[in-house]
Amino acid sequence: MAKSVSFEIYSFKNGNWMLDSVHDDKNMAIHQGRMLISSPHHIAIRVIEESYDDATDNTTSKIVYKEKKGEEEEKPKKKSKGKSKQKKVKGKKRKKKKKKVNFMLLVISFGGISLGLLALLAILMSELG
Amino acid sequence: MVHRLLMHWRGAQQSDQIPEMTAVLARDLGELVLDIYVLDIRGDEPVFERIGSNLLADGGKGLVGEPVSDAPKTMLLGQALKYYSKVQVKQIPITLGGEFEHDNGKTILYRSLIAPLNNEDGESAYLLGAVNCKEKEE
Repeated sequence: MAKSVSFEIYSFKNGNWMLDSVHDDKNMAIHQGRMLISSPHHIAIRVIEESYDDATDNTTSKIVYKEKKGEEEEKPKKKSKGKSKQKKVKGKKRKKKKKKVNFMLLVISFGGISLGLLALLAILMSELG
Repeated sequence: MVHRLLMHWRGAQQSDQIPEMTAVLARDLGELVLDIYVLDIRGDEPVFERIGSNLLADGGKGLVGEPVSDAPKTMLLGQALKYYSKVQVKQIPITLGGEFEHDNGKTILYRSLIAPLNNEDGESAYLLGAVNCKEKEE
């Protein structure tokens, strides 16, 4: 028994996959799919291989080509993730700097207070005796 | 050839609608016109509206204005259009290849395209067909 194969081109329109054309040749179907995606009327294209087996009465289908407009535009988003990492690193450095400054201020103020206390003690000691 | 004609069919489309017959035939089809035929599908049975000279020479003579059932199955035209009803129902272009025993005794390999066409009122009225072939090497 024969097994028949066809290649169906689907185009995504108004939220649905619409059948555009049917071919019996895979290369032609994929070539057509490529031509379609380059035209302004199509935003996504799929070529589906449909195999029908007479003996088993089974139909199997698989995607042999798919293309979506804007795929290239999505890639830079991944790059922007890298950028955000860089931003995160910069942010961490700033936080470290702030911590250092705060620590220095704390040391200076603590030193000032202790110096003041020492001076006060010295005055008290001299008055008492 | 089939691919080139399909590109003309797509080129004649307004947005993504089925193109008008006049828009497709008005394009510079070059030598493709020798291998194309048009069926008028407005009646009960499609009739040949026009037939290219290569197909006229291969059993198509005298078929213009006649129903598709008159096309001999042992000639290229009769084989090329045998799936026209699928295109009529689905309203999409379909390409199909195959082989058959020609009237002259040779085995012929062919590739056929049938695509829907509208009339000026936007109604489905015609089918555009094209076929090319070669002898199968024994």
